[in-house]
Order: sequence, then structure tokens, then C-alpha cells
Amino acid sequence: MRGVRLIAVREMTERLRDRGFILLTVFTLLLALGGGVLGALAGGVGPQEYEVAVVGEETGPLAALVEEQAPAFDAEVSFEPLSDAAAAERAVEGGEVDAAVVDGERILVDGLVEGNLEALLQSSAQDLAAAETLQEAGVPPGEVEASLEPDPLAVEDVGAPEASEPGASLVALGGLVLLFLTIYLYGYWIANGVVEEKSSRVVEIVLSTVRPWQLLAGKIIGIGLLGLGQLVLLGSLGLAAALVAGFELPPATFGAAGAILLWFILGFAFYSCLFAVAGSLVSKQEDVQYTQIPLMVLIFGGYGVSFSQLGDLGSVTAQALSFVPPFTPMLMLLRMGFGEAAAWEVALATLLMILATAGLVLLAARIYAGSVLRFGSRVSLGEVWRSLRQDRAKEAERREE
Amino acid sequence: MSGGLELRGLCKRYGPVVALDGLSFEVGEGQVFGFVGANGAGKTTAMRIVLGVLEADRGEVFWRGEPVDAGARRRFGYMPEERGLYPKMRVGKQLVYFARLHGFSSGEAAEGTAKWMERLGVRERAGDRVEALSLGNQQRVQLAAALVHEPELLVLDEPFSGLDPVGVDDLSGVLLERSAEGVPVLFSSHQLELVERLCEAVAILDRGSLVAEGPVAELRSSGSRRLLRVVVRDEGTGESATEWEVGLAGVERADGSGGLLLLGEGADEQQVLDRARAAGRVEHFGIERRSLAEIFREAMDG
Ligand SMILES: Nc1ncnc2c1ncn2[C@@H]1O[C@H](COP(=O)(O)OP(=O)(O)OP(=O)(O)O)[C@@H](O)[C@H]1O
Ligand SMILES: [Mg+2]
Repeated sequence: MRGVRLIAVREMTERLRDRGFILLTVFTLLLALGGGVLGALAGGVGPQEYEVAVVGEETGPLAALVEEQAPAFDAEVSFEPLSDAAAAERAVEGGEVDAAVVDGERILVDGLVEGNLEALLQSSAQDLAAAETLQEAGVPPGEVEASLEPDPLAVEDVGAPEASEPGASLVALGGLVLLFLTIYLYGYWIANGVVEEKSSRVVEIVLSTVRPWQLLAGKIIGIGLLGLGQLVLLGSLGLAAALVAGFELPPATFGAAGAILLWFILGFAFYSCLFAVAGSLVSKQEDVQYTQIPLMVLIFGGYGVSFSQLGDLGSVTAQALSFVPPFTPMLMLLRMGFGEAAAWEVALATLLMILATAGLVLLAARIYAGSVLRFGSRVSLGEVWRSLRQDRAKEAERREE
Repeated sequence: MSGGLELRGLCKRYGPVVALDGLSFEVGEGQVFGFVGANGAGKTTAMRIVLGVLEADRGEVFWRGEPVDAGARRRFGYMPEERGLYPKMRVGKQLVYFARLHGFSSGEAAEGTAKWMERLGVRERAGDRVEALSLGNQQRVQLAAALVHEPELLVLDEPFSGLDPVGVDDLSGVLLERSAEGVPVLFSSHQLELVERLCEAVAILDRGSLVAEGPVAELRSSGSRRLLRVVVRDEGTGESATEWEVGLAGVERADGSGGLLLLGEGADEQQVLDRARAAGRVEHFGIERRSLAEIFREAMDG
């Protein structure tokens, strides 16, 4: 265990000191920060501002009502009184105002008006007309308002109890992209780290002090923790930026963040074993790009499958696939986010994922041990497999003696 | 056998290739032991098995009388044939790291690092990345990596290759000093004069098994055939006398007029001396010690 810890610590400290790594981290952090702020801005933080021309005395009460109702429509309206309809028409056409209300009867617009302005004007006009009618019918002024704004209907959620909270699905989608990117990125580092040791030949000294599985485990834990740290930093900075910019986070954000962390840890552990094998098969840095192709296909495939199931996450296909280890992390994250996964399913998938990873670690350590000391040309998996079987046979032979 | 390292019946195959075929030998406490053999003889394979980097198909390695385990191996020092360090890691940090992997605490590791960087003349480079060092200095750091944890056994695979004469002297000094402190040193080399000069004992390997093994002094003076150099001056002509030895039992001339005689079964040096004196003035008479290179060639032929 001591060896594993030493190796993990080296992986972290050496990378933290690496200029390339620091630059990449700072860059992605800035990206997340900027993304949070931009997202908040583009998401229409603060009300949309409109300018509306008003013509005629009759428009006065309407304008007052519009102003009152504007916040409900996420709008802020300022008024510009004009002398006549012709002037209003020119102003609308010239784009000086977004719309004009003439004599409380007509709304002038130029094509489509962006956002809620038209609805706001219409709604206000209807309410005004209704209020006038009620007043004429003798309803006391105090009750007019109440009758125009009855208590809203009570909404009851009759879906399954684990059904998603609003906004959780959005966070899950974002999480899917994040998961996909980070697993691939950090997985690639694992492969690179393995080749670096192999191409510099330092691996032989290391393996004279620790077992191959220890080296593998230390590397995965070290780089994994680094990735996890970066993910947490990235996530919290992005969220903080969004908060500062005034964006309201859906209440499900924190549950979803937990789910992302869970599936990052399990998914990374699983895929990093495969990336380590991909790295151990070659002796030169530039050759990794070939051996990691199957993994790329697998990860991109999982990503694609997850998206293809987006429309119907409750389907049997989605359910079944979410228990197949290579697809589990991304699909389960989605199904959890969309409230399609029962608690027992999450538990089972987690268990399966852990078992699959444990088996994979053992297998990967064997392949890794068999290939990491073969310098020179690229080693084919078939070759490693054959020599592993030979070793097995020799072991059995030895035991018989 | 207690004090040192023992290889017992090691076998290793790579598919159809037999790399080791029942290799056995011992390296005693404080012994400098040379490991020689042609390319592909199996030296590197044997050393990797000692270090546990490779697994033998059959046979075992013993350390101080016990089968080696991971704990014992952590106290070995190893310099692989394929040299290598982390290219981007600082020299000092790297040595501390290796010392710690070998079980040193961080304090001991720092101490060992300082000591060996000083001893091997790379102290000023502690803060440099390994890739920024010259090849010779990288080799010194590599050696420091094998020594930094004060190993109880040194296994060095061709440690002298690539060193300049000063480097060879430095390394020789370190090896002799270690062995004087009781550390067995097993190293392989193709530079036979060096092996001859440094080693108490050698093992000669050919295609995976031993063809000769033992103390260098014994190997050089014994063997199935002894060589005698006798120079006899004919006092009449003033030239080297020849053919005076014809008829002596088991004696054969090995070269034309150089005076080298090959003594076989039943030959008697005293008889040869008597005959030589009768033939003229004996200017030189002595047992010729064979060089390791000759032993090597002979072993390969046989
Ligand atoms: N990974 C491997 N796969 C297949 N054959 C191998 C492997 N490693 C070594 N061999 C073979 O095993 C034999 C012994 O090799 P080894 O490297 O031990 O020889 P050596 O004595 O160290 O040679 P050299 O003096 O050239 O270093 C050789 O025939 C070699 O080709
Ligand atoms: Mg070799």
C-alpha cells in the first residue's frame, strides 16, 4: 500500500508542477468561469427592456397596467408619448420603439416582436377591459382586482416519488458532456503516463520495487484524484460564476453534482484500466493514438448511445444498456437526472460497475505486466494473450511437479 | 549457503527461445562477481529474475539462504540494461523517490540522495531535470538510483558500457568499496579485461547455461590444458632453439618460435625444464596464465 501511495503522490505532484498541465487547468477554469457568466447573461438574466410608443388619452390606464404586469412577463417597459398614429407608425417602422399602442385599441409592430412584449400588452388590455366591464356591472373596486387574480390552482405531482426535480435533467445533460470529456481526457493521461515510463525505460527500476498492479493502481489513483480535484474546482467555479451573475440554480443541482462525481469515479476507474493497457502496448508516445482507438470508439459510442436514448430513457433498451459497464456511467447519469432510475437500479449498477472494474484491474495488471517490459515494436494484444496463456500452462506444470 | 545470493536451476523460455536452461551459481558475501557471455546468452534474463521483474519458469533464487521475497528485493540495488529515469523529473527529487520506493523514510531518503550525489559528482545538478544532463551524468544519476538506499546486494547489467575511462575508474572504485563493506556485487559486462581486474569470481554463460564458473585466479591457472612459455637460446648459433621438446610425453608446441608449450595429461614441468637446459641457455621459463578472454573463447568452443 505504501508503494501505491508513493506512486500516486508522485503522479500528482509531478503533474501539478508541469507547465502544460497548469496552463491547461487555468485555461479550462477560465473557460468555465466565462461559460458560467456568458450562460447566465444569454439565459436572459434580468428583464428584457422594451420601449413602447403610446398615442391618445385612452392609452393611459393601459400603460399603467402594463407597467404593473411587466415583471411577471420578465420585461421592463418604458413609454414614449407621441402625438398621433402616423408618428407612432414611423417610430415603429424606424425601429425607435418596439411597438406602439394607439388609442388603447391597436398595437403597431414591425414584424415579429422578440420575447413577451406582445403577450404582455394583450394580457394587460384584456385585464383592463375585464376590469371596466366588472366595474360597469357594479362590482366594488376592491373586489375587481381580486376577481381578476384568483388564487392559482394547486399543482400536485402524481409521478413516481423519485421523479426529477425541475432543472435536474438540464444539469444531467451538462453532466453527461462533462463526464464524457473528463473520462476521455484523464484516461488519455493514463495511457500517456504509462508510455512515458515505458519509452524512458524507467519502468524497469520501478517494477524492481513494486508489483505491476501496484504501479497501475498508484497511477490511476494519482491521476484520478487530480482529475476529480479539477472537476470539483471547475464545477464549483462555474456554478459560483453563474450565481454571481444572478442566475438561479435549479434546486436539483447539488444532487446532480453528486451523481456526476459518483459516475466520474466509477467510470474513470473502469476506463483508466483500459487506457493503461492501451499505453502498455506501445513504446513510443506517438503510437498511443493507435492503440487507444478502440477505447475512443467505446467512449464516443457510449456518449452516442446515451444521446440516442434521450427521448426515451424509460425504455427497456435504455434500462438494459445502463447495466452494461462501458455504458453505465453516462446512461445512469442521464437516467438519474431525468428521474428514470429507481434507487435499486442505481445501487445495482454501482455494484456491477465496481465488480467489473475489480475484474478489469486484475486483467489489466496481467496484460500490463506482460507487455510493459517489451520494448521495441508495438505489442499486439493477441501476443500478450498467448504469452499469458503460456505462463498459465507453465505455472500449472510447475505445480504438478 | 548463507551470506549471499544463490541462483538455483533457473529456466526461462520465450516461446520457442530458451533463454535460461538450468542456470545455477552463487555470489558470496562481499564478492565482486562478473557475469559474462555472448549476446543473447541470457544474462539480462537472469538478472531480471533475481530482481523479480521477470518470473522464472522453473528454479528459485535464494538470498541469505531464504527464497527471495518482495521485502528482500526492496533492499537490492538494480541498474537495468535498458537505462532509464523520469526525463522531466528533477534529479534530487527522483533519487529521493527511488529511495522511498525502496522503503526509506523521507529523512533517510534525503540523506542518501545528498550522499550519493556528492559521491558521484552530480550534486550541483540536483535541481535540474534529468533530460538536461549529459549522457555520462545521466549514467551517474542512474548509478546513484541503484545505490541511494544502501542496498545489501547490487545487481548491475552492463554498468560500464558507455562510460569514459574516468567514469570506469569511478565506478570500479564504488563497486570495490561496496564489496569491502560486505555487499555482494553481481555485474555483467563484455569488457573482459575489466572483469578480470575487478572480479574475484566469474560465471561464463552460453545459451542459457554455465560453461565455466569459479574464482578468476583458479580459472586462469587451471583448466584442462596448461600453457608454459620456455625461451631457450642455442649458445652456438645465438638463435632460439626449437624442437628440443620433441618426444616429451604430453607436450606440444602451441606456436612456432614464441616458445609456448601446451602441457596435456601426464606432462611434467620438471622434465621439460631439464630438457630445456640441455638444449641451451634458458632465458624464460614460466606458467602462462590465460587471460579471461582466452578462457572465454575456449569455453565457447568447447
Ligand atoms: N521479451 C522477450 N521475448 C522474446 N525473447 C526474448 C525476450 N527477452 C529476451 N529474449 C531472448 O532471450 C535470450 C536471452 O536474452 P538476454 O537479454 O537475457 O541476453 P543477454 O545475455 O543479456 O544478451 P546481451 O549481452 O546482448 O545483453 C535471447 O535469445 C533473447 O532474444
Ligand atoms: Mg543483456
